[in-house]
Amino acid sequence: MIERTLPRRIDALETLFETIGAFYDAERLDRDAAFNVELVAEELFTNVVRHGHGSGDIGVRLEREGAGVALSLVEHGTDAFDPRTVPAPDPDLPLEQRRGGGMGLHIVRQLAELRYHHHERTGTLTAVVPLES
Amino acid sequence: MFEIAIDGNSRATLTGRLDASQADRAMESMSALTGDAVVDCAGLDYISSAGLGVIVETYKRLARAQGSLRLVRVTPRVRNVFALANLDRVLTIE
Repeated sequence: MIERTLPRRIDALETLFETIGAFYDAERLDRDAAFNVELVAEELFTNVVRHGHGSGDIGVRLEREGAGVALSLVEHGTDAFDPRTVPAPDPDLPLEQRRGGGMGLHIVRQLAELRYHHHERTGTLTAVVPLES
Repeated sequence: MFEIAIDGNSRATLTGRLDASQADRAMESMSALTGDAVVDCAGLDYISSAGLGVIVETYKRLARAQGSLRLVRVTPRVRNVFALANLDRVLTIE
């Protein structure tokens, strides 16, 4: 398992990707097979930075879970917000009518199983991404 | 690392990783594309929804001006991200 605390900024993505790389190295996993974990991590992290209601840094935890990698983001000082309740965008909508928002979560939900836990104003969002071969 | 090069024939070449931290810069560079534009994605290793947003907004801008956008030499991994976002059916991806 590996844990880090990242600043609530988009430019912390580089550190997030470095953390994933360090986890893959520590677990002797092929870094080239980290694409989906990186994608899920970026989408969820940027969602928290842009739309999260908490304050302060964001905790990141990576661990093996079954045949997958569990990525958790921990946000303090926040009301409960379960991203699983966000409706999926209409895939048949013409491009002209599509908004950028919502696309990231739609991608995440196809790649990972999501869990959300909220306790004493701390929200923990966990995404379990199957290991790529 | 992310690099974007635009040539005089309205062709953009993307290299590296187009994530949310690079999207604003990419959008600014892509604003130089006009008419029937081509985006070469052979060197694009990674794209997220923020990068897809840059492509979609550029596509819309060109379409409004009767132009077009074609993505060429897209790697399977990057193509899969377009598919996950249901964009592979509405964009021209080669």
